[in-house]
Amino acid sequence: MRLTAEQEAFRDDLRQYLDSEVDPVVDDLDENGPLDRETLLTFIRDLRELGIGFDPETAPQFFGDVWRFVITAEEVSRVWPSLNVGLMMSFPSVFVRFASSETREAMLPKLERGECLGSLAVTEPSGGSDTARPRTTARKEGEEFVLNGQKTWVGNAHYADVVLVVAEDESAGAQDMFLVDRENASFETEELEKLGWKGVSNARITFDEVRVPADNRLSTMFSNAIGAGNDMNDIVPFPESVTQLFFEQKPLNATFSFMRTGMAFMAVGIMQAAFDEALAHATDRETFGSPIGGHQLVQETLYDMRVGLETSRQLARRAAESLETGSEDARLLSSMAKGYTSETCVDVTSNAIQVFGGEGLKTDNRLERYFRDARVMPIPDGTTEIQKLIVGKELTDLSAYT
Amino acid sequence: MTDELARRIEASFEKDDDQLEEDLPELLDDIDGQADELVREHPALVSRLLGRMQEMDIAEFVSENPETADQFQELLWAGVRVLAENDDEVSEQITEDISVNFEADDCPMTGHLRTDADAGTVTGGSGHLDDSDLTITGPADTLVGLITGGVDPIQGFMQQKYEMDGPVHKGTRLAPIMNSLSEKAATPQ
Ligand SMILES: Cc1cc2nc3c(=O)[nH]c(=O)nc-3n(C[C@H](O)[C@H](O)[C@H](O)COP(=O)(O)OP(=O)(O)OC[C@H]3O[C@@H](n4cnc5c(N)ncnc54)[C@H](O)[C@@H]3O)c2cc1C
Repeated sequence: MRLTAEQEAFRDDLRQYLDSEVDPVVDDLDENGPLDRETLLTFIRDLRELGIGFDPETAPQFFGDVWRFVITAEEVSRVWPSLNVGLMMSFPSVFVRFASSETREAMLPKLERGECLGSLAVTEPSGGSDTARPRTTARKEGEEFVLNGQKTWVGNAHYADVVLVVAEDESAGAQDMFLVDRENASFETEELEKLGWKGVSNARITFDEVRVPADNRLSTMFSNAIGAGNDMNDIVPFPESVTQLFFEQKPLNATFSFMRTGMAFMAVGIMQAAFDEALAHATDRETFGSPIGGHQLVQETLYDMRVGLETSRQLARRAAESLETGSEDARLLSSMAKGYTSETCVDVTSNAIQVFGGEGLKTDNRLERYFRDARVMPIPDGTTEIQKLIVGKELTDLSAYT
Repeated sequence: MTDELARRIEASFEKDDDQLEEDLPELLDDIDGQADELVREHPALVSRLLGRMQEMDIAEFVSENPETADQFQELLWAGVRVLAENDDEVSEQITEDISVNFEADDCPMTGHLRTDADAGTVTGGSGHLDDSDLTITGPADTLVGLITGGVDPIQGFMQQKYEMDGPVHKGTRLAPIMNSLSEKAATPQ
């Protein structure tokens, strides 16, 4: 895999921005996180200038190029994983364009300015691994659906303008999603304190008789949009190879493959940051009269870290390539990549602390943040156990999780 | 003339579902060969018959009466063809040649559909085409619902009620055609 000149330029501009604008403020902002809406929007506005975002103008070039998407996930996470999460979890706002007139009226101007923040509510307090059976319900009443239930761990929930909620559609006896916009509906959120990803908000949401227009049901939005002459790629701004996977691997699974590949690159970004600092420290810090990097056991640690980083990056790239070509292995490779890189980045960031010794544990250094951010990775978007079961199903065609 | 047949179909509407299910194999047998004529002469009746059939467990019916599966589909497709014939709303939607095979996964029922962009027509029938652009697989009820309007094609797909194989853009172009067809099939003429 080789980046085009245009993709390389995109990466260079992004790196430059992150180093000059985000790196100097990240420690302070992460420590005092989660970000508030206005601060997150400041970054999102800047990133939009670089071609990263969800508005109708930016989304097709950002999501429409798998490499731009994964470069962003890696580079942003190298500097600040929480910012990557805040950005990526905003994805559901792309559906505003196809929602009810009520939601469009309220949200489209914001979306077009690149300021409509989104959020995805799948996980429920009763368990996040088994997503096939949501307890949140959507009851049809006239031209509305009425939502009841609880969601938890929802990224961006506090300040999101729209939330895409998975619920059991009682009228169809099937699982569906519903776009709730904050201007026409209200719900309670409760912040969750957590170990890592401290810069981004995760919250519990309670839906108590929350009414949304019937046209805000995701399957209806697709139906209406296609009826109006749109293609799948107009609705979900993925490359054609990925929307083709909607047919071969179901829309939700293909979307997960895309997001999990992004998560794998996020893990790579965290590892890169930890490795770079560990290597610099190893040549700088001296014990027994020589740099610690000259001690064989420290070299072994550096070897382990670098191998973990390189194998992770290669596997993540394989997953990205499979999305780019619409390969039938996309689900297998993206789950493998998410599972493997998430676990590996826990080891790599832990090793980075080891190379730093006591300094690595100090909260005024970044090493402990890398480790805390890394430790979160094996849980969201399907735990490592679930990724293993998906890979098992893809390999054997026998499901261990239905 | 299909008046006598129409009277018998009419009479069977008076019966409950079980009785209608019992009568259906014989009725379908009699309709065989004159489905187009029946639909032309008594379109509302055919809509009603298809509507009643949609309420039945089609997979069970086809499994118990395998020989009637083809006849049922011939009636279904004759209904669609005739109701959509010369209909501007339907032909306007047909902007591409698309061929589709249908396969029930809960009973031995296969069918197909073909659109012709130049002629602006849709034709269909039982059995598979040798090579089709798309293959739709799902429960028989859902497949029939797709044709008669009980199941919205995109919504049903997104809710994973059936699976579709083939190029996505053909699938998305098929959906509005199916929608306009099923609108016709559901509206008594
Ligand atoms: C920081 C963070 C951000 C998140 N962001 C979002 C978000 O934006 N939106 C959202 O909807 N959700 C989000 N989540 C939720 C996340 O997706 C879930 O936490 C995750 O899927 C696991 O669900 P759970 O926590 O309920 O664990 P459980 O499902 O209760 O699982 C507990 C343990 O059992 C294991 N396990 C469960 N079933 C099996 C099985 N069949 N075989 C083997 N092991 C099994 C799991 O792997 C895990 O180790 C986030 C979570 C975190 C921590």
